[in-house]
Amino acid sequence: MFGSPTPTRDAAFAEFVRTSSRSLTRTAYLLCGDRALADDLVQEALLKTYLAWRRVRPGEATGYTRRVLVNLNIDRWRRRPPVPTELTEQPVADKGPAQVDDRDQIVRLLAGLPTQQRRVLVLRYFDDLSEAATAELLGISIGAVKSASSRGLAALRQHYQMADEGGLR
Amino acid sequence: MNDLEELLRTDLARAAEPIDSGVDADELVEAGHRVRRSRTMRVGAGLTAVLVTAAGLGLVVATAVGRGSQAPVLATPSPTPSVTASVTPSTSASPTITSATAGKATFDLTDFGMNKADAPFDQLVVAAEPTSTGTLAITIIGSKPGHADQKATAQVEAGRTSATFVGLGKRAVVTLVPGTAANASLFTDLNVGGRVSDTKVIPGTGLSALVTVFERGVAEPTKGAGVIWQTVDGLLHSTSGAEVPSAEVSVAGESARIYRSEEIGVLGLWGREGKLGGTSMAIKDAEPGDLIGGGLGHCGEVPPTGCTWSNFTALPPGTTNLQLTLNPKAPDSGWTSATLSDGWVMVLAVNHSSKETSTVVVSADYVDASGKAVHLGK
Repeated sequence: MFGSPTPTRDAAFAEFVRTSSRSLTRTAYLLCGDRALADDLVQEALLKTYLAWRRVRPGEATGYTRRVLVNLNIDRWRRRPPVPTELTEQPVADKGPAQVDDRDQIVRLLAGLPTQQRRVLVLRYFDDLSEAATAELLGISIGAVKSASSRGLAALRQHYQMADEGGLR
Repeated sequence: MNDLEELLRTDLARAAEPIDSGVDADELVEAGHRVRRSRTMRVGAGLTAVLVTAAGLGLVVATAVGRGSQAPVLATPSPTPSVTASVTPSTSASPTITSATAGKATFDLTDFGMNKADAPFDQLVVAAEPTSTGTLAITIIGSKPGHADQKATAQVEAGRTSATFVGLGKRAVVTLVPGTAANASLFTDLNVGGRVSDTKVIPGTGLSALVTVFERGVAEPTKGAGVIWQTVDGLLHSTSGAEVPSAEVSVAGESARIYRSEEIGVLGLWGREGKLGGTSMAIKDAEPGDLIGGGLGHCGEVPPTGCTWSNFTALPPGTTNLQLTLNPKAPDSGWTSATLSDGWVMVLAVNHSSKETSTVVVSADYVDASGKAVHLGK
């Protein structure tokens, strides 16, 4: 009931936003592949975090917001119209022009993966979360994390090979 | 780590490197404030709908009682509160179901749509029938043309003083409370979006029914639900039937019943009419600092004119020497406090002004139960 006064709480939250929003936005971008959507997702996740700020333990704010963010992203993808996914498990030729900035190539490759595999790869290899932390954040088993990671890496390996053969890297 | 994993780490870092955040921390905090206010005001909007309905209900109640050859029980004007009013604990008994005749109440839900969600039913009928075992058999039927009726049943025992919650589908909850409820409000932590409600007496049964329709459906609409209802004597009761500590106050020309319910975990303003009623916040989110800064607004047309801004909070038992400094730019303002029956001190500050003077309270000073002087604000 009697926590820190609102101005102090707001200042702490604002500081948290300043120090964490860039990292969160990068995660969001890798998850959704769209800069504008990434900004929206982070804004929404941070707003939800603000509303729960009194319940967020110090030191766990980033993890809390990342969890909200990933769930928001899941929701966003679920709200999209159904998209044929037959090709997502198969290596697909990159339809982008060869002159596209190769920084974006991994984002396009990730977009071709099933959502779960994409989330696991981003959390494991960009956010450096352990398998256990990834499992907890996504609400799945460690075995499921290992499976998604293995399958995702396997799919990417083929993409990388095709890209190399096509001279896109 | 194998080469592929290392390659992936490098590529992810490279792809993300140019990405910066477009989030402005201060704007986000402001947005957070707005959402918090809109949440409380949304609760208020729902309650206002109840109260408007309740105003019409008063005639129905008086008529029904008159037919029963009993003296009508009418609400009486509340005494004008004084600043720092002290409210004597009430000794009134909890409302009890005493009658045992059949009766029903019919709710028209055709105007219960919210945003893009139509009401799940056009009509909802709550019927009570006494049984040989002394209970009341409750039957609830929701109907909508072109759709199959939905039905739910419940049993309410005679002498019951607490509320009964019955879900009908995923978006409707019927709350049965003992006695004559002038109005009522359902509280839930479920993610149900907006809500619309109406309260009616079920004639002859000693029961009143609150029908609440949610904007979004949930699997168990009654899960964790609580209710506060107001009887015709103006007192508030919560789910168990216990009286909610409350006091009728008026300040700056506005009146409201301020309350704090430990059982429901909520405090707020229970207004009948005017611009203060129907605003609440969770006790866990309330703190003395809520008094300071921007208030909850109720404005007229856009651009806002004739706004009423209010701030309220509860201070722990033992709080004394409370003094508030109000916004000097808003001369039409005032504040009051009331010590509730459980010792909590409810504080309410109000001003009438334009959008620019939404700050109601500049600072507050009081002495807490331990004798420590507390200063909030500038």
